[in-house]
Amino acid sequence: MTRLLFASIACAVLVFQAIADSAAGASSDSFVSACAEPDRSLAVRAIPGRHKFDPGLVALGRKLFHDPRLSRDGTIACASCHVLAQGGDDGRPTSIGVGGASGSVNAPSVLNRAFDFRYFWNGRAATLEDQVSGPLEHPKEMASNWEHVESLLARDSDYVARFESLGIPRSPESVRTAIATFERSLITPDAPFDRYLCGDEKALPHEARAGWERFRSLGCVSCHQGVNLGGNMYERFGVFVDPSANHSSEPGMLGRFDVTGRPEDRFVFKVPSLRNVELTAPYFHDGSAATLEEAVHTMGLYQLGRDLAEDDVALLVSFLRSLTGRLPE
Amino acid sequence: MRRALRSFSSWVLALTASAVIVAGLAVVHGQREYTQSLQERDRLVRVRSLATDITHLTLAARLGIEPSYDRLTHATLELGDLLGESDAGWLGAMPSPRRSALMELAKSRIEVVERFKRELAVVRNSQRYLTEALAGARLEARGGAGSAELASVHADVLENLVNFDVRRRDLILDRVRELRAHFDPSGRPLSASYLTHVAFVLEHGALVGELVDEICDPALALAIDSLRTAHEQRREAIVATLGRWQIGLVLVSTLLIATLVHASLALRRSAVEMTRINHGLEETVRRRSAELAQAQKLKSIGVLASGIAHEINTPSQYVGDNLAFLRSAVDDLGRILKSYDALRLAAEKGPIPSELLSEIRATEKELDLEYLVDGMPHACASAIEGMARISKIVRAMKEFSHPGSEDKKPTDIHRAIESTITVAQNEWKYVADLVTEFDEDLGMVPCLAAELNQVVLNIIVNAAQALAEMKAGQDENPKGRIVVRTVAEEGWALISISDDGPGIPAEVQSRVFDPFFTTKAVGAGTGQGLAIAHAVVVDKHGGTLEMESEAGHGTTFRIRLPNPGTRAAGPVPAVAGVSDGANAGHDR
Ligand code: HEC
Ligand code: HEC
Repeated sequence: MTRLLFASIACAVLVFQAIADSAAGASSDSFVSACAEPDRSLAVRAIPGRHKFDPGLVALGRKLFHDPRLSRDGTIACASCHVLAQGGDDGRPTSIGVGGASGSVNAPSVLNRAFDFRYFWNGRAATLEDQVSGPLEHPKEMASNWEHVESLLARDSDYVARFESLGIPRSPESVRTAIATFERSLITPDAPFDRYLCGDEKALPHEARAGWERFRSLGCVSCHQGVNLGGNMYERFGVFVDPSANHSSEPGMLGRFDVTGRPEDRFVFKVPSLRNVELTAPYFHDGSAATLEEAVHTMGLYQLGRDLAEDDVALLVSFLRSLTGRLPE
Repeated sequence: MRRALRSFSSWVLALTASAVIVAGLAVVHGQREYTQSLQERDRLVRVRSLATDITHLTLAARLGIEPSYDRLTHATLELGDLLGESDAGWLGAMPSPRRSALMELAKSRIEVVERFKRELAVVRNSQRYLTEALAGARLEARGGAGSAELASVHADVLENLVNFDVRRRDLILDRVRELRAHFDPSGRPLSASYLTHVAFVLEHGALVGELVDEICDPALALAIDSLRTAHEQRREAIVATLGRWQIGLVLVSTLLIATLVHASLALRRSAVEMTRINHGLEETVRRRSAELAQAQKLKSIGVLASGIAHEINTPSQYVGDNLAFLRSAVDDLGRILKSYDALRLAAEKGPIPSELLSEIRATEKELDLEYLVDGMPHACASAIEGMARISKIVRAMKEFSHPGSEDKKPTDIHRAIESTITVAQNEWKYVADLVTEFDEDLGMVPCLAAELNQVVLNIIVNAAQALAEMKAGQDENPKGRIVVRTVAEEGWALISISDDGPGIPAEVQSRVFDPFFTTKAVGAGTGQGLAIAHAVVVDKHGGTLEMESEAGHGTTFRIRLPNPGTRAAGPVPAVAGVSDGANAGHDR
């Protein structure tokens, strides 16, 4: 026992040294952090307050993101399923694409995606740039293709002028960069919880603070952690419960398994970020939880192996509501 | 010898230049390879430090020192960026089995880390659950509910699970079985979730341990290190090659510079030589053209001479005939005078013997005295006229071939033209009527008379030859017409010479003043006539020489000489009817 402790301490010293040497987390160059001294002992971190991306590129990305002409029949924009003012998703269990086609998974928010490690529920896209082709070419989403997009860009004088003034070619590559950069610029700072993390004790109401305690002690924070309270790891949905009873196990609904084909990856999903979670109902990859309470209760059963008391759920939900930040205009 | 030397040195130059280019390219290539290899090294170093970071951060996460996975995640993402997803093209220079082995390792390492993250999270949570239970058990033990021994076994199990160590797994299992055995009969059973979490930690805790072991496995670091060593060697080879090429480059550059200096010196020498030769050539050309002009003049005089001989021949023949007549007449008259003398002597002595008288009558009759008396004045007049013609030609010749002076002298242009026409008479007489229309207002014009004569002669002879050619082509044809006209213009003296001959084809018109240009058969013309005319009029007199011609309608040459005598030399008057070809030949 003591030997183990000793070894642990020795190891800890070593590791600390190494960590102090190693470079700080990536992508920090493009953002200005909100508080001066982050508390390293916490698994979570306040979100940066500002970004430093090229405004011209961001504006171009914004225009592309909101342009329904990118889709085959000119009806669906990225923004149709990712409504920025409503938390960056569409509020439906599953999304409706071109011609009323409905998809099989719930649309996640596009807000704060800069801090996620991979994209889509099953993490099949490595970067936001890679991700763009997904919805654009998906037959049930925008059902479009790059030729269509390029010819649109060539016809629209405003696009021509914007690309020209940015000095970039009107290529799929540039479109991806612009949209991804725009998405990275969509951060929602100043949530009460962030202000609390930065030292403003009063920012977090009493209940929310109690919820935060529960969040940690119950172990939600083991999975929903990092800057985004999620988005930096995969996890099985249903650690203690077999989910196939209540959730579809069709191909395409099995998370990482659909990518790797390994049995241990069944129902393994990217842990979703909980930022602005109160705005993004319904919840889970299949949109099966209509309310936060339901989602939190399910989390307790599935992920923690606990049947959470109603009080705890209420406290946790009030904590989750404190994660809503300032939405981008 | 010298030629061989020169071509040798240009070979040397070409060789060294190409050597410099080759060496330069090699150096550039080597440098590019070197920078690229430096970048590769930096990346390899980064990959190596990422591998270390990942191990450290994994341990930190395991020990709970770094509760957030953010940094571990970023490290794996960066490693994936460098080695995982793409084909790691930046490693292209490395042997491919090694490269793909490394990429394989990195990829599986990243997957293991992801698995570790998720297993650790859930194990940690179960341990949390059990920690709470542990606190409860301790409380229970202290409170004395149930046997204290049992409570302590309980606490021991939990402690072992919270600080899970795989090596104690069997021991923990025994203890759990013990607990179960105790609890089962006595009533309060262990809750289902309690047992679930115990089982979970037992299973997944072991897994976490295995995953950590895998992550700390030095295989990745060793693979990177060995690649780095290989890379280092390659870079050393690159540096060595680069160094050799650099030395080579310096050497061949020096050689090139030396050759260039040598060549430029030689060039300078030959440039001096060239200028000298050039001067010599220019001198020769000048002399030659002077000779040519002289030759042309001589030639024209030669041509003219036969014509002139002919011209002189006719009058001199009848001068001779008349003189011969006069001479026999004088002889005859002498005989008659002698008989008259005898008659006078007889008459002084007495009466004239009749036989004497009849003798005189017979002589008179014999000598046709009447004819003699009548013919002699006529013969005299004829002889005198012939002489006049001869002397006119001679004078014209004299005037024409008057040795030119260096300076322009006021000249009676009309007289000069007249004598030229006269001299050339034999050239045009049979093919053309020559008309002169002189402007009496034209006074004395300053010019080089001899040379101007030559110009006018050339043009008239050309016209006559053109007309002769035209006539030769046709059976019978009236004579052509050559009009020589002078006009006193403001500040200029205009001499125009027109013919109604065949004209000059448009395509050669622009070249007629070029030296050596001729349409005549080879040997027939020097091609100098009009070139000389141009030189004389334009260069020597500062005048203009124009030609206007249309095929089938004749040719007109206009010579304009500055003539300050009339008024100051004004601008050259516009040429009338340049495009009006029908006017050519009847200039008005
Ligand atoms: C028809 C509705 C629809 C449209 C249109 C649409 N999306 Fe999505 N989006 C979704 C759904 C559904 C998902 C989840 C898919 C999955 O995970 O398999 C998603 C996922 C994403 C994600 C990943 C989020 C995450 O957390 O991993 C991003 C980023 C995103 N979309 C951006 C865009 C962009 C950019 C466009 C326009 C080019 C767009 N979307 C158009 C429905 C839509
Ligand atoms: C073992 C890891 C894990 C733990 C612990 C965990 N979650 Fe989750 N959480 C997930 C995963 C994975 C999902 C996505 C599941 C899905 O979409 O099918 C999720 C989804 C959610 C969602 C829905 C988010 C959305 O946008 O759809 C909420 C809310 C949530 N969790 C809250 C909690 C709370 C509160 C706790 C603690 C009581 C908790 N989670 C504990 C892994 C975990």
